[in-house]
Amino acid sequence: MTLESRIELIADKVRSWLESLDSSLQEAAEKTVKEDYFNQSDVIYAIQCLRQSVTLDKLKKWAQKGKVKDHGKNPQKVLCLHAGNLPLVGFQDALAALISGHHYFGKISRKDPYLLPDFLSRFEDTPLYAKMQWNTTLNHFQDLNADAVTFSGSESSIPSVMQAIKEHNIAKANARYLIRKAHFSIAYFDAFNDVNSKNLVNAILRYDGKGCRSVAIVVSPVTLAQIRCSFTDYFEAFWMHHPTYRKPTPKITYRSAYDKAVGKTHMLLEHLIIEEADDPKLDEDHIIYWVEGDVQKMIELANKYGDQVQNVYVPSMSIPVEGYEDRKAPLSEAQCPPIDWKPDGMDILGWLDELGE
Amino acid sequence: MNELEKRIFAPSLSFEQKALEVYRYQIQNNAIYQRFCSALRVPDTLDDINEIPLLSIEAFKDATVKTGSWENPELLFQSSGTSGMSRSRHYVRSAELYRQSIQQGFRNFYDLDQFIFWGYTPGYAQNPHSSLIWMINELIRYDSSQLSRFLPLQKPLNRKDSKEIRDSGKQLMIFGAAFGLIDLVEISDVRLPENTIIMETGGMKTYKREMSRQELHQKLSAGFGLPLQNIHSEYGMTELLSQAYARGTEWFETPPWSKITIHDPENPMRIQVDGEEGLIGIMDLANLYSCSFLLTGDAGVRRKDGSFQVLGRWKKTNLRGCNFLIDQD
Repeated sequence: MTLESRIELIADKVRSWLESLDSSLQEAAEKTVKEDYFNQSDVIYAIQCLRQSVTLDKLKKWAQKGKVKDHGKNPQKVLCLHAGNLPLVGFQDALAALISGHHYFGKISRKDPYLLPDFLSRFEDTPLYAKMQWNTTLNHFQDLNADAVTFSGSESSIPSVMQAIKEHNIAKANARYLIRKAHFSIAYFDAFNDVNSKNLVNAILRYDGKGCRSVAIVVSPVTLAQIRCSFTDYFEAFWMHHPTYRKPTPKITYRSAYDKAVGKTHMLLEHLIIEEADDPKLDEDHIIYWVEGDVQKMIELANKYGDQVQNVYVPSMSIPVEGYEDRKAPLSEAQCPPIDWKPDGMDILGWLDELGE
Repeated sequence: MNELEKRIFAPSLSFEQKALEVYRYQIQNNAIYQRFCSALRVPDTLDDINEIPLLSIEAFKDATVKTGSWENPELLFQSSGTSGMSRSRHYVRSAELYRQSIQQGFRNFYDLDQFIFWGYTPGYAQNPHSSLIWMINELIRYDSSQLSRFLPLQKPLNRKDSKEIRDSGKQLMIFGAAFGLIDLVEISDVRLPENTIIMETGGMKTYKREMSRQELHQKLSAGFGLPLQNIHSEYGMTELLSQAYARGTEWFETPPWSKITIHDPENPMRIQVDGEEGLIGIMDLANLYSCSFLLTGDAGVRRKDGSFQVLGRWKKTNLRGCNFLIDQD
């Protein structure tokens, strides 16, 4: 099978998977919601984003951009350890492995056990000429001897993952690893208007703010105090359409009391809090920091946090963000990235293409 | 000292009695603490000290923490930090109150009159806003032998000084930050009296190096040629006017007007059971004119007898972002 025919086949499978209303996808989505892995709004949103971003044309462009070669004749074993913080968060890695022609082995997250397997099962009887296996337990991949492993992790989680891979003899000693560490994004909010506000609220609240593309720092010439009241309407509107059942945690209640005590401007958003800050510490996942400043200030903060930063968002791509051209993205796409986006600045398809060379 | 100040140190009153009295005083006279308790819906009068909310110690960076309507503090302590970093500022209304806390606190664990103090730290003149150096300076001033002093930095200890200590019949205590003491060991070649106590004051982590307290103590013990039990630690901070001491073990003890509790990082109002790790909370009644009820960012664990270990800064996990976790994913 040629690369082109493989891409055509995959695009066709993705389209039929995403579009057929009576499909198993609907069942997988319902189970995901019913069993409380994710809320309905987030699951639908994730599926809708894939509908927009995965088309034959876009897949072809992705492969062309990276000058991807066909590895169907010399496939390597690729193990993808999929995280489960958002619905279908591992989709891009799995799709890239299939396109590349390598053998795909997927450790499915126990926190998102239905959606990705439902997609993968579409290929069970398809002649991709590569092996495919997936499972929710790591032990399943005992003695796999993988040539390559991909996963995302914080510095503190990496040693335990590496240890488990070694213990179960999952990867070869010289296996290549793609470890992505970025865990939050920064947004520049140049002016308060309807479009900007809706996009920013989505970038903050979507997926309960748990994605690495979620905004944890907002840099704006407008102060939080200036727009707090008007902004409240946008948050309420978001929740009206995408209800969340998260209540403020004791930690949030404590933090809000603290902010009130010291006179710090803040907004309590159910389970998150937006807080005005000069120098965000970013040591609490439930706090979104609002920093007064311009694009230069955003660059300073991005420099400070380095590879922890996934993306820097701008309301308009015409706004220059020097040094961050690769990580600059439109605020409107914060939670709905194109299929060829590069987590941690690395094109997964390009990385897989280099395997076995 | 006024009556309320004296009561803090009065041995006839229980800690609980004094803490509840200070709580009432501070909630009525400290606007920040009042707003904090009000937002948490904690009443002005309590019967149980475990219900007293602990204010995050960050408040000393974000605001002026003051109880009462006084102006002109007698002392101002500031945390160290590089330019651009926000620093804690502790306005101290009464220097005498801090002096009493230092002296009485020290007496609680050591024989104050028996000691000669050396401080291997920058001197008071160079660091007037360091609460630690003010404390060492006070201890030096207290000693009438004239042998207590700040040591010049980067200069080795000399034999003559050591001999003078021996001749005085008193006991030597050397205060210093972790890596300062390591440096002193490396440049000195002198035998100290064997009952010398080395008092490390923290700072196990610098921009250059990091080591555990246990490892540090072993190095100091070997380097100074002193038994391990002579390597002690002091736990204090800019925001506190009382100190805890660990005397040759890893367990710190507090003076009777101070108490440690360990709090659930996910619910700072919840006190952990003894033996469980969490954030170190401190009730320091000597902080009468700032805030006595504070939650630190340090990790710790407590024993039933009230002693505690400091386990470094609380390490927060990054829940935001794709993070593959073996036991969850």
